[in-house]
Amino acid sequence: MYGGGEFNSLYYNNFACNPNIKEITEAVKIIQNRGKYDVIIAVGGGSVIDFAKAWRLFSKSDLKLIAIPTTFGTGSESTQFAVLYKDGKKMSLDEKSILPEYAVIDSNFALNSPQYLKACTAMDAFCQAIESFWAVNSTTESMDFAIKSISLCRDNIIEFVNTNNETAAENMALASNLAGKAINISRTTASHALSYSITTKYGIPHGHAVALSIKNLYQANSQVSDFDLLDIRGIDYVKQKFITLNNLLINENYFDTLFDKIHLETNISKLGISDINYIANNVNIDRLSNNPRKLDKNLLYSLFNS
Amino acid sequence: MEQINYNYKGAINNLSKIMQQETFHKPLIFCGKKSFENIKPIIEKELKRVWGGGI
Ligand SMILES: [Zn+2]
Repeated sequence: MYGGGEFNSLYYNNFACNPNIKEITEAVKIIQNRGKYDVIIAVGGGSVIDFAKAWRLFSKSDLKLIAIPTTFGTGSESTQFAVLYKDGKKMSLDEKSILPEYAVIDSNFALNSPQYLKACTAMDAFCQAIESFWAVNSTTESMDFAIKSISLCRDNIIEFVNTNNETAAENMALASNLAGKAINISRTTASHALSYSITTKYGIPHGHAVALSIKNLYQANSQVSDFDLLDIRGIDYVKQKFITLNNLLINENYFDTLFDKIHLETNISKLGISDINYIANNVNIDRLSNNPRKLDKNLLYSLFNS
Repeated sequence: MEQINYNYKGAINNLSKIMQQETFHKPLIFCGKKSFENIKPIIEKELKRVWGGGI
């Protein structure tokens, strides 16, 4: 924590990636005399923006929040969620009041970041957009955001991960922002539901953890039937979504090529992930019930390649 | 929610615009450990530019 001298600003960075409740509680205690400040600025990746959102909520502050993302994946600047961990378990704050009042988006932050970080964050955006599109709670508005995001991801992700092309970075920053807007309405589904325990137990970054099951989830969801459908809008309605995705050239084969080109390992044994049982048992039930197809334990196991 | 800037250049310019528009000058800044060293001087410089030598 550092004071900013003549401008009475305060810099707070006393928290780790994937912040936990303890760190928030501590920050609420430490940052006293809140009347001294007139605005909150959060500069950083999803964790930092989530931390600022949580701080504002827990300290009952009415200061406005300006979010400046430096990575482009979670779209946290455009959502009313904040992910926090308690005893290794993911908790999601979901509160209208924590949506930042301002988002300042500058894709230059993403240029020159490490390739693996770019692959993870971009896959988070991509999966959020895809999951939002087929989510039970999707709406016309959220699907519109999702489709725009999916098209941008499809056209830019490979170049974004492998080069410092400015246009690709701008488009991925926009894709991430749109995916955030999409899930702010619809919430995510099974790949996200499974990802949280992979991150806490095995330390796999969020976007990578989410990507591990997206290909097989796509396949499983596209085979949804009347028997296991969770979306009350009906089977024809849901099947039409997969036709739309197919028309966007998003299909099972697409992901194999993609992971190859962005150098993302999706074989869980190679990543040291051994306890699928634990992951299936700790699946986030809320998000799982937002998946268009009801997934039993066996189907959950089949979502991973080993 | 007000969304600023879709040309993706100059986060700092846009931050300044917001600060000026709302007459903010005492920010509480959350930042990552890694970005702290890079970000602090930029924001300080900008605050100085916007608000001059003092408030
Ligand atoms: Zn995500």
